[in-house]
Amino acid sequence: MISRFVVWAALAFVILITSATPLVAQPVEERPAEPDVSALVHAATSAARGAAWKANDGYRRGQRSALATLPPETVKNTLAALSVEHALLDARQSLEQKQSRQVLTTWQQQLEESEKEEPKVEEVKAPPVTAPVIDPMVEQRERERAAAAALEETRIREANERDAALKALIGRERSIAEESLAWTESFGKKLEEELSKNGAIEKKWTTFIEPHRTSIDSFTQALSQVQRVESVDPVFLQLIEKRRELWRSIDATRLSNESARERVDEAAAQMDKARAEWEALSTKEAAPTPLRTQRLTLAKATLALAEAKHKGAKELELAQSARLQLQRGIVDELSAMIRGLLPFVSDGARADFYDLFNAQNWRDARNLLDDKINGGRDHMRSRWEAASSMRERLASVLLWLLALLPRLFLFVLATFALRFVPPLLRRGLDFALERPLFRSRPSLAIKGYEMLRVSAKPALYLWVMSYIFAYIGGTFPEVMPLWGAIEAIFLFWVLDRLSRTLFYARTRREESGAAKRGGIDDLTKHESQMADLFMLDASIANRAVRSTRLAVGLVIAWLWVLDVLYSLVGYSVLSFFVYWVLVAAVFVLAFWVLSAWRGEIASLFERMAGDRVPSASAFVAKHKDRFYGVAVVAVAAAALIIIEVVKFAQKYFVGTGAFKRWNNFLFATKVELQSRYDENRAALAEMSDEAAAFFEKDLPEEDVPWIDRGLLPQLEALQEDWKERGRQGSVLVVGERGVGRTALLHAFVGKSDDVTCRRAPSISTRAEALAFIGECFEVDVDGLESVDEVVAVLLEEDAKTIVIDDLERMFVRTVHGYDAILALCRVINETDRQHFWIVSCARQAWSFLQRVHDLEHNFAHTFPIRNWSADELKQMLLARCERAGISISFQALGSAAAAGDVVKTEEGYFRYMEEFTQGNPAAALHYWAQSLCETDAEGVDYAVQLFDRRHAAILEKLNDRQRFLLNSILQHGDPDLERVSVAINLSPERVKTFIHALEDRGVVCVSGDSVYLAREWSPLVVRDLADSNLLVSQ
Amino acid sequence: MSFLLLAQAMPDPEALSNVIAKLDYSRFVWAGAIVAVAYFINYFLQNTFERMSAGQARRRMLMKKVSSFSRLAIFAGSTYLVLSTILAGQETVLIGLGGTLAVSIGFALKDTVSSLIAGVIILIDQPFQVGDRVQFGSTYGEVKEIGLRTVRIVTLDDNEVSIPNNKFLTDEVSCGNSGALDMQIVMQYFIAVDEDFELAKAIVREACVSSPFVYLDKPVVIHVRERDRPWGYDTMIVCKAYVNDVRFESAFMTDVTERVKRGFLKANIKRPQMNAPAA
Repeated sequence: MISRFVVWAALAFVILITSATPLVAQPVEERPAEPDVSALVHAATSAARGAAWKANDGYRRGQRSALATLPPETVKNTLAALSVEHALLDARQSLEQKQSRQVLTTWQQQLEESEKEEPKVEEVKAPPVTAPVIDPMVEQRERERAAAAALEETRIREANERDAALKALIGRERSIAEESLAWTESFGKKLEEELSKNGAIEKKWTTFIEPHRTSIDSFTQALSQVQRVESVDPVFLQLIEKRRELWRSIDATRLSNESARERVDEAAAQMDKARAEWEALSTKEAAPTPLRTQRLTLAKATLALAEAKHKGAKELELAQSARLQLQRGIVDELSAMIRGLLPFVSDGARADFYDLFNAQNWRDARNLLDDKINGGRDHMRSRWEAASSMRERLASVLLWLLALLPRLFLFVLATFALRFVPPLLRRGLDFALERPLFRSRPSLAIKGYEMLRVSAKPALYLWVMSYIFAYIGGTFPEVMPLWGAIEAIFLFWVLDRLSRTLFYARTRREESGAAKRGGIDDLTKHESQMADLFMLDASIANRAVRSTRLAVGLVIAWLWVLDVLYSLVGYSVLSFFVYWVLVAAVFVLAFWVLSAWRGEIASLFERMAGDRVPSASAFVAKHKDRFYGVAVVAVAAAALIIIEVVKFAQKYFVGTGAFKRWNNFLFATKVELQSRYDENRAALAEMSDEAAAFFEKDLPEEDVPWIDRGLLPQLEALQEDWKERGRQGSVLVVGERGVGRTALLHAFVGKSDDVTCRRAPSISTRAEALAFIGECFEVDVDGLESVDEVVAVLLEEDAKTIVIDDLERMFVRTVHGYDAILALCRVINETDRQHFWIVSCARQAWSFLQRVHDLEHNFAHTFPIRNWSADELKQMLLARCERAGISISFQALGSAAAAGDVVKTEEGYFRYMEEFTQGNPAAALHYWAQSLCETDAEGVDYAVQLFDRRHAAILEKLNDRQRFLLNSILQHGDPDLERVSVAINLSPERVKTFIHALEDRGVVCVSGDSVYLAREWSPLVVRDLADSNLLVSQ
Repeated sequence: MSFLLLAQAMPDPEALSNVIAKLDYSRFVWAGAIVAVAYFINYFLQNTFERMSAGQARRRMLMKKVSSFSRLAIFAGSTYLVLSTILAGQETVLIGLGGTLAVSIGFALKDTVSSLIAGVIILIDQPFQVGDRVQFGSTYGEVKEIGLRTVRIVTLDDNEVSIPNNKFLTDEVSCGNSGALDMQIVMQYFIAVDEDFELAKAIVREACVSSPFVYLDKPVVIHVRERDRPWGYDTMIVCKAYVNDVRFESAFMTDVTERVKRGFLKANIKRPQMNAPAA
């Protein structure tokens, strides 16, 4: 425990330190050492020119004002550079840069105004921006004057000197001063020449680019091919040509820059030699004689000359570097213009531009690449020089490295922390397995644990890398594009590990050492067995992993390689080629994957779609191995995906209760709104008694059209099983009241011989139950008091099939009120090998009895009857209409509906009925009869209207005792007053009062002594009682 | 009252007059209107929730919770609106006054403020909810309302007891159903020690499961114990069952007891009686 605390405390401390360290390490960027004044002047000049060039450029394009074109950060940076320059110029009072100062002041004012009126930045008027002109030649003149003055002073000293030795030394000093003056003058000319070249290039290209940019802005996609050829292509080709010309210039500049750099190196060597001589003289211990003093002066002059030459060479090299940068900037500008023109050029010009067999195109691509590489190399060289030449920055560099070290140490910590990840995840798994959601899906939970575990390592290392990279990228922004590559590598790593964990069998991974068995950080043997979610064969798993690797690799390559390629070489034949190579790779990959999986896809297709489209399934199976088989499999795979998507949508969207309710609500609202404005709304039909009888619940059996729901054959199969194999023959049929239990039993009875069918009597004692059983078997059980005695008698009887309907009538909710049903169930259980029993019970009653006495084990088979679907209801109702000999039309539901919409309306009507009646056909029959109205339409007897619904608000107003009464009626079938009174423990008088109240509202019906739920209210009552917590869950 | 508090908070007369001068009295009219609107919204919402919870038991608990939260939200919102209306444009004053008034009001009405905060804590922490059956000290009943100041409990004999919210933060409170509609009820029945306890147990069980108030999705458990009484032993049958709505707690016990008594009478099961003292 303590050791863990220490570890985490150390981790927190290191993170704290590493978070704080950048504040210390940043001096590399924030505290620049004393700069090389001359270099900074040039840099500031270059930056100011660049900014001004862009600003001027934006201004001339007329799109925005100069300040608005430049981002505020750019303006601020430029101002910062100019501020440095400003300070330097102040220090050198000889330089008169009034114009630059004026510009600086104007820009400062503009920035302040733009900051004040930031929301109105678009409206800021751009000042007449002109590039701040800084003349380096002024400094040069100063140098020349200083060199001339030094020579003059040396000459005077030489003339005045009398000592021969000293005179000789002064003479040498004079010759050095002469050389210095001569060099200074020649250097001035060279510098002037270089600067004028830079100015000329800038002027030339600005003059060239401006008119073209204006013309490019006017191009639109609406141009015809001819117009493109005439107006766009020449500009496009000229830009390409000019870019090539510029590359040639860049080559020349780069060569001269290389030689300038060599000259700088030579000058640096001479300077070092002169400094060494001077230091040797100055450190030599000797008496300070005039001769020694003069020798020191001579050495110092030699050193000064070497330093001046080095400095001059450096300035020349800087001027050439600035030119190189300027030229590369113009190339970038031209490339951007070419890219912008590509959508507008003619097809021919575009094809030429991307022509893979044109050598010039490849040279252009190489030039683009060279340009980027050389630019990057120069940039890195300048970075290196800046870092290595500034000795005073050594401390900062060391600090930076020091701050990097703890970040690198994070790798060690991450490796150490990884030891704690499995136990933590293991705890999470244990916690999940205790929850009901995962307890029922342990394989899913264990697989999730495994996948989290294998992805923890790459994720943690990636997090550490991001931390380190953010630090390095803060100092070297140019390395940031590499972050994409690092992310891609880690992504591949994670997905590869995940796919292996997902597809490979756990046992295989344990054998290969990829997973360990046992220990606190891993799975037990039992859990290991459950860890295989898919149970794939080794070959299939191998293919799945390979497919995943390839797909992931390709996606990553697509995303990252293209990105890097475009940033490196822009739009050229090379990027075009790589793009199509990647496209081809996608096709190859798709081909390979489909080819590798063709057998599985074909069999899956057959399994999922074989029943619906057998010909297609057979076609796929037959042709999958031909040369075009991959295409066939591809189509089959696409079909499978569509089937799965549709299934998913049906299950989680269209098939949900909420969606159905919403749909039905829309349907009912639409129909009601239509009928509200329908003046010719028909009255409800006055049906003849003969026709109306077909929609009554108690229609004679021979008139009831049988709707096959596949239940009867199942019952018959169970009976056959009992007969032939002597298995237990007791079947419990459970269904909601009115769902068709009785009709099913009657159909069964009608098809079988020697079947005794009885409706359960309304009884509750054991004696009554035994008497009823005796009556079913037509045996005398008088005088038999125990169940065992009756069982013994029944086992002596020949095999019979007994069908008992409405078992719920055989109990009453009171003490000793379950004796009858308990006795019957026991008799059934003990005689069901000898006799075949089918017993039906209402669902709500059975759920209650299950909780009270756990009766289900008395039956060999439980046979639930689900409620009816909309299609089944439709089939049943239309069959009854047909049997009654009446024709109907749904046209009235949508008075203005087109013919095609009537079908939709009909479907909508039955969906609505199914939802409202909860699939209860007895209730549906009632509402159906209410829906039929008179019509004058030819050939149609009745039109279907929307039925009037019963409103749940009536039930919500009932008191608790009335609800108990309804619950009692629902559970007992059609009990008499006394049974209800006993069940809810109320006096018969009060029960009678309640029944009258409910009868008035139409919720219950009274028939003789019995009371039962009105069929149209039944679904609503069930829902209301469930909401009131009175029903036992199913 | 508020001016007195203001005077305490800011005793400098000049500063006080400055603040008062800055107050725009028309804003008080608006503040009054806000309070009135908030009152009516609250009245409307409470009645709506009451109506919506009337029909179905399962919906009732949810509606009561929503009702409590809506009352708190309306109170907080209207207080903010009133303060920001009166002190609009005087944020500094608002902050200053807010701080000083909070201190002074806190001292003056510390119990009330503490109850207010406790009310919020109860709503968030939910040691019990509206509709729950709770036992707090000697008070047992249904939580009718978790108000801003007090919790109102309706006892089984229909008395309404108001208990300050802050009491619930320090004292022990037990909740029978924790937001659920059902709740376990324990009933005890006694028979003579030599009676047929198995029959009695079956009668108690059937009486319990037959009651219309029983919630059968949770188990019904029957225990049999013997008790040592001064006059000898007797048999205790403990029935633990869940009532389907906490409102029926008493009715459930009555119903089961009636059925048990009838059953015992019919089966001729004798209740424990004091033995005659030994001679």
